[in-house]
Amino acid sequence: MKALVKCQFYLMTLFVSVLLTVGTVTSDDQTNLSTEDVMQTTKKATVMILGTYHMANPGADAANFEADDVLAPKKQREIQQLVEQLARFNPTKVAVELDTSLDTKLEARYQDYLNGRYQLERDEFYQVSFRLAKKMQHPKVYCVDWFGRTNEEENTVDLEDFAKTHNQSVLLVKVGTVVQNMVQETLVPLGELQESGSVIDMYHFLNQEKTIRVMHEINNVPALICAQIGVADQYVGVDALLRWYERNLKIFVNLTRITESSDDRILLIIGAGHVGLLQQFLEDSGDYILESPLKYLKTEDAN
Amino acid sequence: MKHQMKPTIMILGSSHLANPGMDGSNPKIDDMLAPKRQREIEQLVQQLRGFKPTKLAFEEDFSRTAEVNTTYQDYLKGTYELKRHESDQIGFRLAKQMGHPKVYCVDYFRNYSEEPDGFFPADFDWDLVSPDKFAKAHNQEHLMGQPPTAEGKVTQDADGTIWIEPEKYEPIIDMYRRLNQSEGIRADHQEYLQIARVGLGDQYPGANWVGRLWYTRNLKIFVNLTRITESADDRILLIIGAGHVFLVQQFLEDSGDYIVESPLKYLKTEDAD
Repeated sequence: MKALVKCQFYLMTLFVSVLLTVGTVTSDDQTNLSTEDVMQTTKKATVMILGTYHMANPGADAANFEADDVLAPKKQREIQQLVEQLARFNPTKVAVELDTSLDTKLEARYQDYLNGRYQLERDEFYQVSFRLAKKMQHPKVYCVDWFGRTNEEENTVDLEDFAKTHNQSVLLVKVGTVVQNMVQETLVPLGELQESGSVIDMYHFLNQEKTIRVMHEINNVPALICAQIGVADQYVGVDALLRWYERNLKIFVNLTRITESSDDRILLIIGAGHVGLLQQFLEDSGDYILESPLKYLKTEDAN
Repeated sequence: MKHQMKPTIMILGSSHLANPGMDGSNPKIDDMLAPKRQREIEQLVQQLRGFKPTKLAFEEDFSRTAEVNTTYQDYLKGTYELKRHESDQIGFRLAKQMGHPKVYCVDYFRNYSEEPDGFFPADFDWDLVSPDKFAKAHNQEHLMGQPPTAEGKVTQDADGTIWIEPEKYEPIIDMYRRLNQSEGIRADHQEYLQIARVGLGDQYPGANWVGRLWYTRNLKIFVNLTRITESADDRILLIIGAGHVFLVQQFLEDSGDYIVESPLKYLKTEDAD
């Protein structure tokens, strides 16, 4: 199962979330809307995605970034500053990368936090989201992730074995090279920023258009290569990409479900690897205005 | 990879010329075998030759490859008369003119409940991927897309198939130019993102259908294209329902392994500039 696991891992979020930079769509550009949703008539709800790294080092991804202790005083000051800056977006809702089934639990914990009975743990959904939601006086924080509950069927074919016995090992080699190159462009500079810069510097890097693109490719390109493993009626490699796509499609659907009016300004904080695909769904749907967090993130010595 | 040559693919988004009525709403097309239509198709084929395809690929399940090629051989020998559908009318004609020894079937389209293929277990709960049924039961039919009434007269058969009859005559090349504009291709894709929203709470029949059936089918079409690609000199022309173009093109581009050309470059209307 090694290679299969590898492919699936590539598909998981590498770090945290993001947003759309360019292509902020104005309602004037929209034509051809196909439903009578109120949302689609003129005004649209706004979504900003903050691509993040995983502060608590859950180690869930293929290439894991090793985060320093975010409870250290310097990091805490920087996170406070990040929260101040994100508050300028005036979010009406903060959404996080936790399965929707955890929504009630998270809400209870958030209430404890508001009442001073819960001390924030290292995860970004506490460190950034809880602080920001409290500052904005939100009654809750929203869970929008989806992590597979539909008749999951385990693919029992060993991708690596299959590739070897069918003369397709070249595809696996290609995956390795592609991932290595992309890690050089993302995780390596992020690590350098962790050493030399602030938390805001790290977020600034993660949410640049180019980083978003490469992070998206880290998930997408290896999976598109793996998808090619198989012969004739066998498509043993398509599962990884399908699951990644389906998970993000459901995150998009969950965002539409928590959208109540065109006045909503939703801030989604999610692993940076998700941002590219989610931006695509939100933009392609024609139902949302997307804002980039870069607009709000000011590094201290920035112009 | 950057320094290597890459194979080229051009996707021609098509209507289904033989009116199979397989889609949610179907444009009703007049008889493609009428002499005027035949002349238009000849002209279209002439223009597509400019792409210099090395292979023609069709929206037919790849398991039909041998059967379709037997027919193609009969056509080459002059013992088969072209039927109305686009792979015959455009594909066979073009393949013959280019001197291709065979044609390619790249779709993956099965009746999964009758032919389990290992992807869905035999006892799979089909309600999990049935947005239609769920939308009807939960007042979400507005997410299932509405036929674009502006484009023509809408009629419905007894079996529920929706047809749109065009109000005015549209020459074939104009039709293909229209079908392959990026706005239209994006609008088609937008409908799938609407369907994805069908569901409530723990239920995602829309997203499940879009993911496991629609997306997966197009991913397999991409995989099948990689399987018929033999060298960087290949120039593959895929003729496929216009609704597929967005995703298949995205896979080809994201893979980084292909150059994708637009057919608009080759399609010239008579009175065009």
